[in-house]
Amino acid sequence: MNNKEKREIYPVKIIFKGCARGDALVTKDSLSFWGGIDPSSGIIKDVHHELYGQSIKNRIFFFPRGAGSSSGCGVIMEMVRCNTNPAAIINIETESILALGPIIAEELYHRSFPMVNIEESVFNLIQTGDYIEIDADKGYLMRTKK
Amino acid sequence: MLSGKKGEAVALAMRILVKLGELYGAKEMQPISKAHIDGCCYQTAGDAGLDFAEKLASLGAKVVVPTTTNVTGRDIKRWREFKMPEWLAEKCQRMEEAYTSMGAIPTWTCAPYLSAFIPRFGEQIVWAESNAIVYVNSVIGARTHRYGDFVDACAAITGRAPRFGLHLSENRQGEVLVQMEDFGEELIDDTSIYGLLGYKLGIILGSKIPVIEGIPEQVTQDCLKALSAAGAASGSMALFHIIGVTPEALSLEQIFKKNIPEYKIVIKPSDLMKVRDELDSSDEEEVDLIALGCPHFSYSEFYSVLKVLNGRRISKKIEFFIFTNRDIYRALYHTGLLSDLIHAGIRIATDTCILHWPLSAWGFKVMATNSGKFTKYAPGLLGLKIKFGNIKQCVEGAITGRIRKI
Repeated sequence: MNNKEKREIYPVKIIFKGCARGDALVTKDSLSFWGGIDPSSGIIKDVHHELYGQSIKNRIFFFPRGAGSSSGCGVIMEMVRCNTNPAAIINIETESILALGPIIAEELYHRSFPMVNIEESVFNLIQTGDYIEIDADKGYLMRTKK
Repeated sequence: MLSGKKGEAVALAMRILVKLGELYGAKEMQPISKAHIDGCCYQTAGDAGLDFAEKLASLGAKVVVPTTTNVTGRDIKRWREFKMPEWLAEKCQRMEEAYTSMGAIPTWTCAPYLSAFIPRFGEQIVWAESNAIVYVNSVIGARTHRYGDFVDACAAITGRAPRFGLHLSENRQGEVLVQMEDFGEELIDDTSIYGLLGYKLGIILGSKIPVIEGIPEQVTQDCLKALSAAGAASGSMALFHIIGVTPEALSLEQIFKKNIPEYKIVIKPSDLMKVRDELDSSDEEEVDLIALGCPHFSYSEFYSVLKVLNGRRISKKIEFFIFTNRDIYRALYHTGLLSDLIHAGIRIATDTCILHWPLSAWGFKVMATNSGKFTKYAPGLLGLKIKFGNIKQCVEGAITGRIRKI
């Protein structure tokens, strides 16, 4: 089987525009960015989280939905400022607290990253290590299985 | 406003509000009458948060509705006493000045519902700070969506918010029925039970709106405060209803969408003890720090602490911090409770929250608290192990240096 045959394409709902590619990091746990991630390094520091100790920097980060503090948006802004942000965020449902992160980062620093939503059935297929390409301007996500 | 005729700050704020409204299907903007700003603590977003605040301030932004401020990163008067480094205090001061220069009222509290500027039932407002959002929606019945930092300031300087989510009656009805079974009188005033309940509901329900049945009508405000904070920390609770207690829950039939819950769960004392055991991250009984006041301690909670102390002083080996706002601090002063607390060896901090502090200068290892929210965040943010207990256990622990499970 060549690479082309292993590719799958899915539609996405755009929360914030942009294109990105990279390795998927997937968790089924929700996550509070504030208190859950160290913005200076991009490392998950919530001891109750299954990805504790792992970095989301430059990854295509899949988690179902946000949780917790209303400061999550600010943590995303600070990650953009420190260049520790994920390459993209993919949720089943992005709540407004996190959606504002890339929007305000773009206003402040004129750079940001794509954020999109996918169907739960698609979310459940993706595995850590899959190669993901996102075009949030055109509204699709391409997955190459690891 | 978008065109810039009212200045670049208003245009920037409006751009952000419009994008948010578009994303979440708002059909229009609506006027709001109060705002609470959570984005004013330097430590939450570091220099990015300061960049945002100073950009708005330098563009001449001014708030147009009564706007209160959430905690800042330091006790403004006593930060040296709490061993905060000079550079950090300076960053906090810049943040405070940026927001007060816009006309925000310097309340510096995560429990604005305990102070002045309390909204009325049905009022359309924009509040950020997750515990305050739940409390004001649920217990007071004012209407705010679960807003994040910085959009709060955008709403304050435009006086507008997108009309979506919890601003609308149709999105405020209950979804899941929660029945409390086999509890006794502790449900009236043991705030730690509500911290555990909130923590549990946040995890199982995410953002679903619970309707809780079986809570006594005499339940204290402090309990509802603890429930709000923990539910918003472990999950994304923004509104709960309690039959017979909160103002929108008149009856079981009326409170649910289509008059029936999506599903039902039962909570028993043993379920909450399991949560406590999961949260307790220290196997030892010894503690070296007791921290209460998450969210900010109310007057009645201070009163409970003094009642348990009953004239005793805490151990010299223990630090006991309580966090509150200035209004309550003043009330403690005027009624003489403050000197009793200080005499007992307790340190009281205003304006701030321990979760934002660098604690390395203290060398603490195990923190005891009655707060589900502190319990959720302290291990990751402060690197501390946690002993969870109610106010009585925490105060007794401050005297003996040990917290025993009941």
